[in-house]
Amino acid sequence: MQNAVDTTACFCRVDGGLKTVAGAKRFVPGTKLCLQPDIKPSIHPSKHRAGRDDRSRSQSPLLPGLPDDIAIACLIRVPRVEHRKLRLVCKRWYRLLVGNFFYSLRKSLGIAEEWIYVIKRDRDGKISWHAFDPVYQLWLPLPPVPKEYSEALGFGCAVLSGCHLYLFGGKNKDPLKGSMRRVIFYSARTNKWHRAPDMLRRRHFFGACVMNNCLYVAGGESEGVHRFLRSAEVYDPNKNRWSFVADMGTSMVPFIGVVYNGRWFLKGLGSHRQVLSEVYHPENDVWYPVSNGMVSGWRNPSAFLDGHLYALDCKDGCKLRIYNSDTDSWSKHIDSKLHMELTLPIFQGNLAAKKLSFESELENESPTEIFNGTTATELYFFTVFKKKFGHGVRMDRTVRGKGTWTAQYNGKSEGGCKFPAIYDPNDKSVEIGHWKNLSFTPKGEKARFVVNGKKESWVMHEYTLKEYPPGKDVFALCRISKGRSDNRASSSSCAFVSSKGLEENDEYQPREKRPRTTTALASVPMSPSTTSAFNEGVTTSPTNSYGNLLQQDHNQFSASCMSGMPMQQPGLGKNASQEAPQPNDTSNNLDSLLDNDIDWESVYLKASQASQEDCQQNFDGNLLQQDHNQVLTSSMPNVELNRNSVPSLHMPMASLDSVKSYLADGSLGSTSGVVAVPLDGGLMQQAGDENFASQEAPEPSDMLDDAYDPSIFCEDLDWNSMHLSELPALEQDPQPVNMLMDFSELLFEEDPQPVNMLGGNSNVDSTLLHDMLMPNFS
Amino acid sequence: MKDSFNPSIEPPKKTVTLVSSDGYDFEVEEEVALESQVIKDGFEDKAVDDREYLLFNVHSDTLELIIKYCEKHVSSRKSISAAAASSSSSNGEEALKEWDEHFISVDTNTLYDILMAADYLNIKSLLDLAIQKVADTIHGRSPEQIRKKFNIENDSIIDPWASE
Repeated sequence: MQNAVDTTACFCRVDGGLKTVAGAKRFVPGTKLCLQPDIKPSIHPSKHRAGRDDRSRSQSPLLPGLPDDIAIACLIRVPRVEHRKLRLVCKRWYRLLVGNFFYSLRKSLGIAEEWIYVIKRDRDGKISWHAFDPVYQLWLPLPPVPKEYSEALGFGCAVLSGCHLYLFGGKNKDPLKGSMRRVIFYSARTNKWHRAPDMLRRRHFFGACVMNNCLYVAGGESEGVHRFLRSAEVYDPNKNRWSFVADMGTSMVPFIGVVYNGRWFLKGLGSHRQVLSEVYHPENDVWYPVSNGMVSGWRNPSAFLDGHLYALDCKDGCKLRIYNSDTDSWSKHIDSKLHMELTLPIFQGNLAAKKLSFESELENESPTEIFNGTTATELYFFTVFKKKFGHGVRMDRTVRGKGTWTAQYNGKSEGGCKFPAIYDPNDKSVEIGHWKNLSFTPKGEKARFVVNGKKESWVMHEYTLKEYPPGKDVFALCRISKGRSDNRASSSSCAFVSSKGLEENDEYQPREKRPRTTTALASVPMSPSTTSAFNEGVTTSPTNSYGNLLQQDHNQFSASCMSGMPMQQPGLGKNASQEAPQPNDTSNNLDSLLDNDIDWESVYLKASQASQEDCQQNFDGNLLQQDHNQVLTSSMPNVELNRNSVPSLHMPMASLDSVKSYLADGSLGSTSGVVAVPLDGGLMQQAGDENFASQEAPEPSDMLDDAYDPSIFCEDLDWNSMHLSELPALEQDPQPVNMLMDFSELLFEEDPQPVNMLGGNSNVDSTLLHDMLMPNFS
Repeated sequence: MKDSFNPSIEPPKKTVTLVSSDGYDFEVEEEVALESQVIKDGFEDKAVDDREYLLFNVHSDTLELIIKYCEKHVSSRKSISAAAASSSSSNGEEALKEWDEHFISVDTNTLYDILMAADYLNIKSLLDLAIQKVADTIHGRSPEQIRKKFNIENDSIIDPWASE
């Protein structure tokens, strides 16, 4: 052995700490090369490591048993949707994820994941933000927007530094407060809202854009003598300061804007309601009036993508126009013909499918009528729950003039009633929803349940999720069948439920093969009384307390229930159903499957596709437009007056490369319907390297990360404490904000090119920084 | 290039001896050993002309697994390229993937050993495989489950700040 060692090349590592290595050095022949393993930069941020050791004090390793560099290599490969949980594992993981290092590493390895951030205004005018993960098809809500922005109008939003989503300016709903100078931003790393320095002028309905990672705002309105503003200012996040740039030629309330070829074009209304266009050259800090073909034909929100300028042209649907700089004109580019169609190919089964129109049939027809003419014994529907009373828990399930759907229940009100649970397929201890038995009671008859298999009745199994995103409609999956009280009916439904998440198709068996009653029931936490009611025909009359549980509002449906992933609900479903009820619109059909052998896998797949399409349709269809026009009408009468001559839309447009769709995006001075912000997980984008030009930013920025919904995704997340600790500070205590500013400055000063961190220089150890700064949080 | 290593002394089938940290010798084919970038670099360096490598950081148990992995990959690469040459369709890559999946399905300690050895020897594919395995293990678990699985102390990040 000794001899062998003498002539052996040594592969020692430099870590002097290891005994073997120390021993090895003795044997290294002087003339021979001591081979060090090629330390892969990606997982050996050596300086990072050294820095940590210096201050490691009592720090435990990231993953006990592994060196931290390897642990980090593992952790960065965890998908972004999981990051919110990683942060809660322990302090060190939190610091790792909050710091610069983690995400720049992800970005440099090409595994950053872009999310889309969308703003939504509900009918009460309340604003909420949601993030959409295109990979996992999940919608995740962001923490609530700070109070002053919760109902603001005409503010701008932009993404700076790739990980901060800024909201700025705007008009408080409270007329006494009026326009705001306030600037806040959401950090994707911390998943919190923070405050940034105020703008120099109060303004709302202004134009905004991002160029070279600086935020420009211009024009707009404010209260006071000079109602229309000429001034423009710029915010540089590295300096953390606002400063004025050249004033515009004339005061203007911009309604559209785009960064095109490094110039910022704005089109808007002057103080005499004339249409004006100006262009800003950031390199010279000059505004010029402009009146070329691009501007004159430019009426709608637009985006600059891959060297081309696109504009929405979707008064009636989703069309895109493209600007041709050679001919200086706009031409038609795409007509997706998507319009208002909400038809989702949810159920296109392997057997003959029959289309059912909710409008004409489900809502108004009794089950007998629905089933009339089919040989099917079961039909599946998605339906929107309609509450019987405004804030109550009871659901309206009336079929107009025909009867009601009555629930089988245990004598409590719907809210407190424990219905059989559906469990998360991955974690059998987590309830994700419930299902209920209902039966149809024709008008004029007493509620009754299936009786001894003689009398034919209609049974509905209604599957709902436990939690729905706030502000969203509640969807249910309904299965209607001829409810003979034979084993078949109950066993099939139970087998279905016992497949837990509704999507675990491998547990699903075609009805013919399903276990008969007892075994299936055993696997379901179903209350005995319900079972017996079914099997023995015990009749109860729940009408008095339970009320008329009926289905009525069938004009909306979603795939989300199907998939068992609540957040897949289209974020704007509410708008869709409420603002676009079109009785004659055949697009509100549901392709429904009449089948004996549902292929649940394909249904599931289709459901996810459907929800994706739904999202896109929500983005680029009329929904926004409607929402927006409404907003426009109410908040910008001057624009409304000029509707025919100026844009009918007030949405800037953003583009999202990763899903190749065009998203309407309504931030700019408008009251905003939807803002789409493509983000991924790294540090700032090199300026000019890609122009996802929309008004407000959408640079393909990064790492806004981590919104989470504790109720659905992570049972042990403490949502309240995570956010309460931060949100009050936003209103009262400027200290944490200042700290954060310092933090970002530090990062940028010492770490101008974080992406190069791997190269071994500019290794700001962000966790160290964080350590230093963290105490200020207290 | 390999001829520069004095072929007259070499056995017909070139082999390399790897010595584990606990002193066991493993004689493997050169081709297999070259899966390790570190060994390969050593090979290409003229200063190293012997055939024995001391791997101070790799225990024999782990080394055995690593060699198994490398052998499998070398052989299946051959068969895949052979299949491609004869333009016959083969599911060699899928089979290899499955094999990898099976190979890496080990307990956490073994996984860590493999991970560190792969890092040390710089076997990229194995390193990626192992790292991904750890990431997949984290994926889908709740924080508490992660703590338990990886034996991480729960120093809840929320409480200290909340109380301050």
